[in-house]
Amino acid sequence: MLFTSPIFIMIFLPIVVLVYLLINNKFRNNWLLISSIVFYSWSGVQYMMLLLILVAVNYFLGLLTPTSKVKRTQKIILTISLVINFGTLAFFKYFNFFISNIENFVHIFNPSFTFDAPNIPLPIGISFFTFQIASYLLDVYWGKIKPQKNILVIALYMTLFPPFIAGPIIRYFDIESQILNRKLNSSLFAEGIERFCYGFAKKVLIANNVGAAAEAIINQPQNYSSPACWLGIICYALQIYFDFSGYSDMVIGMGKMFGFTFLENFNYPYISKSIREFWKRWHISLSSWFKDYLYIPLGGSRNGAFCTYRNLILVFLLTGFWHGANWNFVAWGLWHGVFLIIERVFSGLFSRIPSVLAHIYTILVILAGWVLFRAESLESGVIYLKYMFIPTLANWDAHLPLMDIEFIFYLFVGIALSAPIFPKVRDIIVNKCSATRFALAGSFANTTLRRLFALCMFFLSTLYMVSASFNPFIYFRF
Amino acid sequence: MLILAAPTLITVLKVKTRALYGAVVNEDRPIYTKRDIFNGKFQHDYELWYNQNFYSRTHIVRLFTQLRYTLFHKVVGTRVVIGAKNTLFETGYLRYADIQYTEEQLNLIKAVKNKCEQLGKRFFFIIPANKVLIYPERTPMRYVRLVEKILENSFHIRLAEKLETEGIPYFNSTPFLFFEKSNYNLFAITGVHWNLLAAALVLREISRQNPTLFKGNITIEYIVSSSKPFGSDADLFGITNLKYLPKTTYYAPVLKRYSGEEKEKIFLNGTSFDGQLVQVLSDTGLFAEIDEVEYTYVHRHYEEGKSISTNTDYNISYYELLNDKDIVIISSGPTGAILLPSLKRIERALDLMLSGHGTDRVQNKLGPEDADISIKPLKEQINAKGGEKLKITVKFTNNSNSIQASYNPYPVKVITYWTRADRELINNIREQHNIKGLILPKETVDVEINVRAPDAPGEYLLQISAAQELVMQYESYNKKLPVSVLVRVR
Repeated sequence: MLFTSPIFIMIFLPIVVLVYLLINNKFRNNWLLISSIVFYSWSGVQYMMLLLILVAVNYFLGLLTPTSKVKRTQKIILTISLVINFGTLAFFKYFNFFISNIENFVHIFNPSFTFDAPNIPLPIGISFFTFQIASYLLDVYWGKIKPQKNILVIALYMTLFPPFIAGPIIRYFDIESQILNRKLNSSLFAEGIERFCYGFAKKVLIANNVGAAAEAIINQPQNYSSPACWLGIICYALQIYFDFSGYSDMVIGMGKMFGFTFLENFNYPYISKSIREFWKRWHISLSSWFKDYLYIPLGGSRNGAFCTYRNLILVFLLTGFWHGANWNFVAWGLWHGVFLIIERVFSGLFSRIPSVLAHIYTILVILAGWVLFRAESLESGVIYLKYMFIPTLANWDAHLPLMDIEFIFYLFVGIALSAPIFPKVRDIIVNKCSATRFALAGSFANTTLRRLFALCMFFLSTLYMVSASFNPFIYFRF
Repeated sequence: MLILAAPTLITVLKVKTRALYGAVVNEDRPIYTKRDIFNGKFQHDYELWYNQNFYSRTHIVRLFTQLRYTLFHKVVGTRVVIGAKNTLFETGYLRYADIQYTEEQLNLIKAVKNKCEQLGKRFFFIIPANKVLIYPERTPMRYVRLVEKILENSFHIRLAEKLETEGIPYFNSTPFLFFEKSNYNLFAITGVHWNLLAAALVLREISRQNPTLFKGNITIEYIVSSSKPFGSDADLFGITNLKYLPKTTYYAPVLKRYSGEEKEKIFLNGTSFDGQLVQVLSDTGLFAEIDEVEYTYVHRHYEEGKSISTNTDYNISYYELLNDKDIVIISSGPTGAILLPSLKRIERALDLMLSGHGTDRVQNKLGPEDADISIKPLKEQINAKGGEKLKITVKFTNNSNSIQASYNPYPVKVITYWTRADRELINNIREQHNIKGLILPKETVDVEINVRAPDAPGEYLLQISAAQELVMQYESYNKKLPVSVLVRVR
């Protein structure tokens, strides 16, 4: 069940929120847990059962960890629990990839070799909840938090439906107190709705509209010119940003509706002036997870240049692999890792580069990275890069049918919203007003207008969402 | 929240709204089973059904399409674009307006023409006009380059040259209508097809240039205009689901009726552009009977004194429609689509007439007595590598008194499945293989079977049988089936 589907917007969310508001505070966690289980069961009851088993296993392993006073035993328990969690992830997400690579390798020596591996479906959200529970277990092991004795709390933490499918990755450390004791007020609820509406609009209006052009060009680059291939990857960069950040906004918004405050996941990543800065602004919950649970435990940058570079490469190799079981994701992770090392090695040089050039450099690296990320395979990614960087004007006009007014409008809106222009303009106006006798009226107008605009966006997005499923023929072709 | 939930609440109350216009694939409401709930199939199918069926969806889509039209001069869906003067175009005609013809298609046209002549029937080929080639100046800006390319080297020019070389009588509507457009509006801005006037002008010109084709001349007495569409003039507008028609004038011809006594019978086969031709031909009074087949199964019938009737039938007997006709007209699609399946069936029907065999009427559902067929593989043993793709030819003989046909809705197919040498089934997979066209009583044809050999080494039997889809397995009534081919996998 996607957040941008009619069934979620028109059935699931209204019911969950209405009941949540109507019931007593002490039942709200239970209601959220039930709702989350229903949400997850929508992809298949079998996956929900797997999830509940993992909840139970991790609950007991979490309890066992600190009871042992011997550090070695604690380590063994932690190792077992991490093997169970990451083993489950590896089985569902990477088994087919592993088998197909073995098959390719054996093919070198025996071309007729085939292995009919079972096609293992990927349970939704497994990458996210594995990382969430791993953070809980590690924090318990390190003594940062106490193990939770109430299994329902752990179950709610692991299954809470808003961040389930696409994050942000929420740490138990950050959310424990909110699960146990949170207060919902009308202001937070209104903020949540507003944030949800903007997230919905980002996904449905911008990501989907620019994404259609990206898909057409990237799927068949041979039919387009080099400039069109650049346009295709720019559209994809906007699509992935507004898709992902829109989803995060919806999650944060829903969180607020239920009284939670989740951490931000994006902070205008495309205004970055270095890849290092990009990773502080892009998918913040994932990069900070890797930093805190892998990079720093490996030694971070404390053990000399070689170890730092090794750690960076390892972290980004795994970051790439986390995004998908394919070599192009690994290449994408390494691509970013390599540029992070380059920026460290030539840090003096980079600090002297004018902002504009630094920004251009960063965008170029990011766009080339997106090519690898979006490609069906590493080979097709390299072919697309060739189309981009070896100029050809053959079929220079092939992309023109994609360029209707609606697409151009959303392309420019997308580019404009990639930078914090509007919040800055709004802040300037609000600050100007606050110095006058209209401060109160200005503040009220700002809030009211913003919320009205959010509702309009929600209305428009709903129209787009519903109409997307309607693409009729005059009559069927024969 | 209540507003959001309202469509669902009203859906539960089963309040229905007016359906949207246009052909779509409708999802069925899934049936609940524990298995489907467990693996998520029910939820997935329910969501697909709900997306199409919740209350107010039609209002939302209509509101959206009107809003999008106002804001971006664009309509919902991807199949209609708006050009200059509010002219609607179907994107298929803009994007794929230059389909290549093949030698096979040309040879078939030639064969049909020759066989018609042998049977004393007059043959004619019409190339209809594509709206975008008649009104390129109205093309949406972003398609202009695409259309320029089509104009430079278009299908209709090359096909016309070829037909000319082969001596096939034809009429290319595009250049003719291109020059006529200064006088009349030949395509409604809201439609995909040429209008009745364009069809009448084309037929009038054909009758003028080919005086021996029709008995009398086709003459337009006057032209009527209206603010309301004629026929399918607004079909493209329909699928936009916009509320208001763009203001335009629609035209239709009033024809002078032929009053001679001896009237001819005509057969037409082509695409949806034939609808206007049939209308005009029936209005001329030149013909006692008109049978038109659109693609292979939309059949329009006209008899003097009656109105045109339309039916959809997969079981059209081309033999019966063609048998008593004096004139046979075939048309291509305006984008260049030459209809291979219908040409093949026409040729087949003409062959039957020449051989004196009789009708090609296909029984929709066959009975047990029709399972009397025999299948004989050309090779009885094959050596193969594991997983190798095998091509096996079998002789399919129809011993029954019915025609075994490959046509929908109940096509006859060759069926294969794998067993071990001791005839133990390997799995329940039964693969289907198409036969081509019709297999007449007592006729034998070759059927090609493409299968993949099992992966593991060993001896296997490829069991070959036949079935009529949704009707019967021939094995149930024919003890000679299945026949088997021994496959040794190394």
